[in-house]
Amino acid sequence: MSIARREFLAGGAAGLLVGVFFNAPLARAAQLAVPGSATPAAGDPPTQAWAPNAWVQVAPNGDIYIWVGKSEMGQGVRTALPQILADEMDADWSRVRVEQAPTLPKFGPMGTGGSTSVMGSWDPLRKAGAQARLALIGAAAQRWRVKPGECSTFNSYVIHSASGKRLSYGELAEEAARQPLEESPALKGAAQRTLVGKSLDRVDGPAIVAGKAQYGIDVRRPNMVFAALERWPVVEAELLSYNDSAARRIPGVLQTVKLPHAVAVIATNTWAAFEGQRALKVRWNPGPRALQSTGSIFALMHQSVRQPGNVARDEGNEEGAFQAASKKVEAVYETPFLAHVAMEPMNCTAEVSNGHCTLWAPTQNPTRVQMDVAKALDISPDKVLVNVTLMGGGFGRRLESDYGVEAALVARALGRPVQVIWTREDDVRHDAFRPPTVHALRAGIDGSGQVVSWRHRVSSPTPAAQDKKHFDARKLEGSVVDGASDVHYRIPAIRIEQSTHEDLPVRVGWLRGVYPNQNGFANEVFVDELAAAAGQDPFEFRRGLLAGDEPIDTGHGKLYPARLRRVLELAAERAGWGTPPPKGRARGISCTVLDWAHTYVSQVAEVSLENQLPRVHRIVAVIDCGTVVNPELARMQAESAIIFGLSMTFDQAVTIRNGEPQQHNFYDFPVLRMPQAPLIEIHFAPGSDRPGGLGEPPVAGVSPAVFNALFALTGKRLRRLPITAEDFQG
Amino acid sequence: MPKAFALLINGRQFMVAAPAEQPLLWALRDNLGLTGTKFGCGAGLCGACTVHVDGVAMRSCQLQVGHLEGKHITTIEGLAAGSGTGDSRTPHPVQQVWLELGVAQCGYCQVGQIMSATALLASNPHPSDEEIDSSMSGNICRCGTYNTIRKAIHESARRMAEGKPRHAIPAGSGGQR
Ligand code: FES
Ligand code: FES
Repeated sequence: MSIARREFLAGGAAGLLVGVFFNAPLARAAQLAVPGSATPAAGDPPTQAWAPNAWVQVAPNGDIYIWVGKSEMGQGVRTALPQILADEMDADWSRVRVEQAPTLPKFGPMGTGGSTSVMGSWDPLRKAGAQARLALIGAAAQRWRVKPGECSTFNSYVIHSASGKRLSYGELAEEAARQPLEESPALKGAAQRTLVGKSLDRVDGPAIVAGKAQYGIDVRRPNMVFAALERWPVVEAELLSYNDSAARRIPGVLQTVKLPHAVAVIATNTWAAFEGQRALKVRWNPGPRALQSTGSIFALMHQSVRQPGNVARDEGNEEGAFQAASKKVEAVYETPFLAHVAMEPMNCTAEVSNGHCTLWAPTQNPTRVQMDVAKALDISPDKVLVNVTLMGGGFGRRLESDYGVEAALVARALGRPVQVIWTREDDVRHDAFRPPTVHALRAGIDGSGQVVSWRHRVSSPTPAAQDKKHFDARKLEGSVVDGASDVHYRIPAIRIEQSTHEDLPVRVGWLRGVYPNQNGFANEVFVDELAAAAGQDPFEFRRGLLAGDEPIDTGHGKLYPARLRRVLELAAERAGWGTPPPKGRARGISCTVLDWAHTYVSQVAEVSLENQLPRVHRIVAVIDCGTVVNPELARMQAESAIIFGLSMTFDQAVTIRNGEPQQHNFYDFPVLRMPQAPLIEIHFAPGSDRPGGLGEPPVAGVSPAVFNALFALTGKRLRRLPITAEDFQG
Repeated sequence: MPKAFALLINGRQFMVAAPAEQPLLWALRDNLGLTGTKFGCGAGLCGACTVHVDGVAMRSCQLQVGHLEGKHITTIEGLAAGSGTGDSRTPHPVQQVWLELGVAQCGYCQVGQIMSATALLASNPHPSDEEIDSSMSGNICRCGTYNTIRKAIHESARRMAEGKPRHAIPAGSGGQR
């Protein structure tokens, strides 16, 4: 299992505990009051609230508090997860108060990534809800002296229909606390669900439109100051000396603090801190990594894919089949470094006193922040409490812990609360970039147009390589072939190889969709090339490669070609594949699977060229992510992922010169804006009762659908991301 | 010591002690605790910090407090109340539509989107798709809510035309940047 997968699953089902009694919560937050909020929330559960497990509490007045252990960054977890629990519990949704779980032991390890929130919480939260419901039934049955089996529940009431008696959950809470908890409670079937499947409104919606939602950047603590940091220009550069006299003359600047990799300017307000940072003069010894540039990094990757790599999958005789094939197709693809540019720049607020550290962090990875802060301060993790705030986007950037560690170090040095806030330029320059890739693919096609062999070599400086203790470049690193080794087509001979490089001048990390984005791009453009070589329609050609209902065993999981075939066919139908597109336009298709998210996606893009610039008019996506908990939230997530995919299709690339990233802000690292947003049509086609992941899966298929459409339009085959203005000029 | 500037914000006067060149954004957020207005780029590129100045949508990260005396500034906190009158707990129709259509994802950009949308509708009560696109092009949404925003602006236009809006809408053009 790859590092990526391990890390993403860290916050999944394994971390959830049920069946334990707990005392009243320390956490503060209520519905509409916001996680991490500096003021005590009016909705704090009363201490006598009954807590059958860590995730739910019932107060005597009937309020039901549901704790969310996942971080909210727009995907709607603070609505969808309580929805799952409340449904199983038959709770009155209007009485549900949503609470954000901080890093307390009872909540277990917490992390949000890998599209796992719903699928990983599905079983534990249903169990938590069912346990609570059964205990409430038990309490009512005891009071009425009837059999529990004669009772039912509805909207926060236990009902005994034979006698017409009913008691509310609030009235029963105290007695329910004395009931034993069912270890494996029976769970509802699809037909019995009342909340799952409904488009309930986001619980944070009213606060957001009122401007009252509290993100990390909005945290205010008594006596708090602000800090901006000038960080090393190149990873592991050495701080030689610095001069802060100009910085300290700026009104509002209080002092500077030296950290191992940065100098912090402390001020009474954010702007003074930014101005102070600009006025700092820091001398660095950039070190040997500064010798690298984008060109040298890509040269290494290209060299690597020309040689055999670590073998991830080897089935049939690829070499023999390729050599014997009547048609041989080979192609090389490239994807760049990418920044995340979440709308809310990185920031974190910290307070250190009496050997304890409290943080208010917009983080996807509270447990990692807790552990890394503990290590940096040399205190035990139970002395670190991370409160999770709302986040203005995460996209994987907030899986890192750097913002938390810095804030804790500055707070300790100052002995007062501090908010470390990053300029956009800091946020871009010191990102943990999505790593670049080079892919070399080759395939053989026989006389009847069948694909007989497939080889994919991918080279990339994976984030996993930064873990010097555990990484060995000669061993297979699974993260890099995620989406390559599990190629979703049925081909008799397959060989997948991987290589990676270490010691980059910048940090790399995980970005929404991770390596299946790059590998899916290469796979799906290459398959289009094969279809063209075989003289077949790209849709029919894919369909042929997905024939049969037998699952494909990829070595670490099963893929269901029938599910992919179905979304492919539906997407083609809805997009009018086979009918002439509007004048001047052409269509391209892709189909992708995110195997660990169990989600199947097919997309059709419709494009044109306007003044030699590509324009995407319409994207039709059909998605099988199993049961959809909240259709409206799901549709928004899918649209979001598609816009995200379009952003990375056009113009987005981080380049490096002398070890330093060359991009700064939205002018040189653009994201899609409204005029470029195409019409997007999403259709869900659930192929299983169990929900899969959704935040990431639709990203991967966007670029290839657009590339393939542009090929259909112009006959020009592009193989490098992103598309730039030059690609269609001259 | 910095001078104090008299700023008229959401119908109330505030004295802000700050250097004249300090951006309005930070006066709002740090001096006055009005954190509804967001920081996204600090360079006039993203629209997260959009407020109304005399009814026109402007980027508060690009406005210096020293140049704003005597101007009417409206932030999201004052939007519900129109131009200082009315019940501040009744949301502006645009906020209401935003809520009903569930426009927000992470929500971080949405205050800026709402401020731009309200200024647009005040100057152009029935914008076309193209007019919406060009008017809103300065507001980035990294979560990609653009299609829903477009829908929400049309729906707001329809509703605001359906009868006199309950609140005074700030006058002025929907000008950007
Ligand atoms: S913060 Fe002002 S435009 Fe981005
Ligand atoms: S909703 Fe997240 S940036 Fe717009």
